[in-house]
Amino acid sequence: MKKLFLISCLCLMVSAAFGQAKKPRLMVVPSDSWCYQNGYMQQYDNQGVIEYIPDYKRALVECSDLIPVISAINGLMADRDFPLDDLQQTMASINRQQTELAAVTNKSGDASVKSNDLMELRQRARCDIILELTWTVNHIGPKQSITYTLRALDAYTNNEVASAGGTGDPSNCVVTATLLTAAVNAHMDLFCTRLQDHFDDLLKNGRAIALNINVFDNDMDIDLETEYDGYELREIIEDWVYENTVSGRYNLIDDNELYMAFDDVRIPVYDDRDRPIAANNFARDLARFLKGEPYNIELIKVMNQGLGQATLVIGNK
Amino acid sequence: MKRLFLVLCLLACTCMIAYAGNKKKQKKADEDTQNFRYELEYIKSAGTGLANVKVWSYSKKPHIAAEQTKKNAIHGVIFKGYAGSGATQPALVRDAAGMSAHPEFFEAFFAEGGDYMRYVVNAVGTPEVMKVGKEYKVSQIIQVNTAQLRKHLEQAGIIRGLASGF
Repeated sequence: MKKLFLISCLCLMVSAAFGQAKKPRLMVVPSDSWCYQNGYMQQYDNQGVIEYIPDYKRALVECSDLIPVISAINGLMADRDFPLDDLQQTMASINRQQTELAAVTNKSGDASVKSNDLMELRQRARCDIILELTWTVNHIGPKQSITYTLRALDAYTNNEVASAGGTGDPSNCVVTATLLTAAVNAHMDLFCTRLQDHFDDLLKNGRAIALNINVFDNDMDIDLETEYDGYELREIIEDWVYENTVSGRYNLIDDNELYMAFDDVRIPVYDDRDRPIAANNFARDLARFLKGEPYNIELIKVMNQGLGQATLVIGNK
Repeated sequence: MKRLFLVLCLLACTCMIAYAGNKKKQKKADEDTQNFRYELEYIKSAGTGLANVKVWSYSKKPHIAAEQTKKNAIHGVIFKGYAGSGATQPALVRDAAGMSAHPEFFEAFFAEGGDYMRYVVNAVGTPEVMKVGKEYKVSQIIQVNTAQLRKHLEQAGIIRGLASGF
């Protein structure tokens, strides 16, 4: 009897653990426009084109207002049982990993750990929903006020899922961090309400993901216009996506013989065994379908790009 | 002796009538709360999880209207939402059924001495009293612990938390 009770408890615990959808990771970062206006941008040469990326590490060190306001938002979210990833800790962790990896060599000391651009890119601060913060300080005579905007952006579909902002009351207080924290306190409830609407929609209508299909240069002459039983491969893929999304909801942004880009693909939150699923699980199912009869496309690479984005590259690995 | 007895009886009757009158007016004030007959304006954040809201309540007795501002503040935060000073906050309970979806819980919550008082941090300043027709309109700034109030409703299963479902 005791054994039966223990087994029942164990079963309940396992089903409860599997019954949880994957929790999105959220992180507060200063917006690109704020970083640009305040000189916290890094330049790099992308094949002759100068590109800018935000330099969060320098912004955290040099801007004394940033940490208190990020902490205030983190604290408010933790109060709602939704702790956020901390930008400062994430940056420190990435740095530490890179330093440790660079120091690793083989026994003879002539080989180091292989790394590539993609790996380094993936080690940057990543999350599923970016909470982007922008603020400006307004001077009205001796008084100051803060105009701020907090936007939650889905990192994969680029949809704005929640936002809040406004201008605080003019105050004699000259500490920007204090004014900013007060403004955040005043608007955070509305922001969380909107974020909750997004989560409710996600749990009801499925997770919105982005799915890309690319084609490698290959010897098999396969591309997305290759025909099977009179249907092009891209039509077959689109039909599969339609059949495997919640209520057939997806958006095909663009397609040609080498490329298909889907967004707002509503995948179920759980699979048929009640396990939570993410974009890469969905992409793997599609890869399995294409590997099967009558398509028999054996070489398919599935790139996991996070909870809400995956890329399938057909024709090689 | 007889006269003393009569005076005492008269005094007791007066007290009972006054008590019954107050009770009736309190009941009317509670009905006004249920019917959303009050106004609510957001004044400012009073720190993390705290909000100062200004409430206008109505009653024929100013002290009843003043006391009712506390209940109305909590009722408003839960069912009405508020705006003001450039900020907006929707109601905590956004279900159209509102109070009728959980009648037993809210009856106990808003009863005299009910749990609602735990979330009234304090009444800021003195009430402003205006005579409007046959009744009084009383306004008062109430500091509400919105964070704890939300937690209470989440724990009671009235509303869902941000992390529920994950």
